[in-house]
Amino acid sequence: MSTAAPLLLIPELRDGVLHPTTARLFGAGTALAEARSAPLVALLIGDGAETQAPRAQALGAGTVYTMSGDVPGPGSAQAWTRACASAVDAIAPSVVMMAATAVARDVAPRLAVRLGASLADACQSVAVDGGHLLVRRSAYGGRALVEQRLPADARIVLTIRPASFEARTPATHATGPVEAIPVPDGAASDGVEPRGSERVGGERPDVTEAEIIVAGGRSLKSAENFRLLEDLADALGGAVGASRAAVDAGMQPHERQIGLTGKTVAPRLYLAVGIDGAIQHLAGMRGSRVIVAVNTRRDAPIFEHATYGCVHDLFELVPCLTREIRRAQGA
Amino acid sequence: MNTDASMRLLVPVRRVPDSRAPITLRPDGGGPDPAGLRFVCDPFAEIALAAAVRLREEGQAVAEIVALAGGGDGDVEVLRHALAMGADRAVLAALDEGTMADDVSMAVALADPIRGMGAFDLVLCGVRHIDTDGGAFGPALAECLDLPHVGGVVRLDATAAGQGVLHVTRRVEGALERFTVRLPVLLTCERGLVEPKSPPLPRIMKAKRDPIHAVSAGASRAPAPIRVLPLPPRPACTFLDGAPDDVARELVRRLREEARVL
Repeated sequence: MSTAAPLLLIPELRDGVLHPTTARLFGAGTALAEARSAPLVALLIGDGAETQAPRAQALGAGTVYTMSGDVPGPGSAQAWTRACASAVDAIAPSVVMMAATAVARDVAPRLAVRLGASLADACQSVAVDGGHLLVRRSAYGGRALVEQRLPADARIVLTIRPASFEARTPATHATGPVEAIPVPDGAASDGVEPRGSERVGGERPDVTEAEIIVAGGRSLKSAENFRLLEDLADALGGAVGASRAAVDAGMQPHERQIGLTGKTVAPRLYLAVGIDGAIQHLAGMRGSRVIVAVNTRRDAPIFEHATYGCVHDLFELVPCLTREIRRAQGA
Repeated sequence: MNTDASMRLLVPVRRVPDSRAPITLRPDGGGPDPAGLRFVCDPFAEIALAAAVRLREEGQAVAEIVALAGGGDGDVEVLRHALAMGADRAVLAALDEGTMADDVSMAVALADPIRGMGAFDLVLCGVRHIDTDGGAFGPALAECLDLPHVGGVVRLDATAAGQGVLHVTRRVEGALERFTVRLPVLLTCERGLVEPKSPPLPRIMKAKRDPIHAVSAGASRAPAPIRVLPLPPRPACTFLDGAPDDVARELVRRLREEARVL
């Protein structure tokens, strides 16, 4: 049995169930816990904490700590931070890890300040190097990597970019201790009152959560023509993204914009359709594992970053591709 | 909160290398080579500034919009830009480069001078810094100032500001969430909230003569050392040629068998 301080994962509960990024958070957490010979524990806050505890254990958590009852929603970042900080005081972990979702973006920095901890944000790789933790993340619009060297004996709040880590396969049988942590005083409200929410983007996954993204640029010419990409994305079970040019032209909504002033994504497969590859766009997607580019211009910059290139008219090629994928799936 | 009904607004701004221009990395890992680099205002800070100015244009009682930059002489220009966009007062807090490169250290260092400037009702920040791609500054500053915050705001309705509340909508993965927030509060501003306009020439000229108030920054903790590294090279693109049907078939085969992503 290890005596090292535990590594604490805080997966997000959304609508009472573990967020889809949780398996990847456990993938990253398990690797780091093994490298540091530290026990891996998890904290679940809010509705569903108790019912989801066995799932967290199946993913590799030893002890699962739960905090439920009169806890704020994660939209109340200040109150949520107080709740997390109180649990961290009780658990005394060396490293606190979250998946880099919108909730973590708002909570992790607050938690780092409150705990006097170092923050390593949106990490794409995490490694142990002697007495240090070496983390890397993209910066300067995806044109460089920033490597941060954190002393291993310091307390660290770390968020990981889920797409950069392998998902952990849940064990079929796992049990372990579940401990309830009381909600601290003053964590109930911070003056931020939720007033409802609405899904956007229909049934397709959001670009930040998708494993496969089909993105289009100005060459699509109209909002209606994006239907072609939606068909392809649906065949692949993926999301639809857009370049800034397509969003500025009103063809696609802001939440689909990928790039420097949009979202940064790193899916398993990225299909750039009718996108030339301006720095603005490359910044948001060049971390993707495999990139396919479809463009009529062989000298388009996107091909310098693509794994596979098709110099074709998208209006001819995309329907063929959708058909071929459906055919391959049927086979 | 302010005693009268009008709001005092704070907008932290920041200069960043122009993201449309190429950068050369220093071989020592110290970041982009500043020689020949063109600096602009961070576009997310511009959105925050434009949102502040729009509140006044909408007829909300706005007592003062203060723009704050951390840094040195090189950061004066971004404050002049903020003044031209409609800020009433520009403040420069002296910060070294190491602190500037770390979102949390920067927030800790700026919290002291902000407290020294009197109470603000609303702090508007960009949702992230476009150069470091870090989104920690706004939330970290909110924690330092002991303010609640809402991140990634895409809609701001201040019609009830007189009663001390704002209605905001923020964007998270796949959803829009609505909140009512009590002032004072910090919001981080996302693209889509407001489209910043270029300031008119007379304002740009006037902003050149406006005073820049210098303050000293507070103590901060030493940020963890960082190195800025070039990206590992990608293998060259494999072009697939032929009729559309053949290309589609070959691409799907390669994605399944070679790249194993399908």
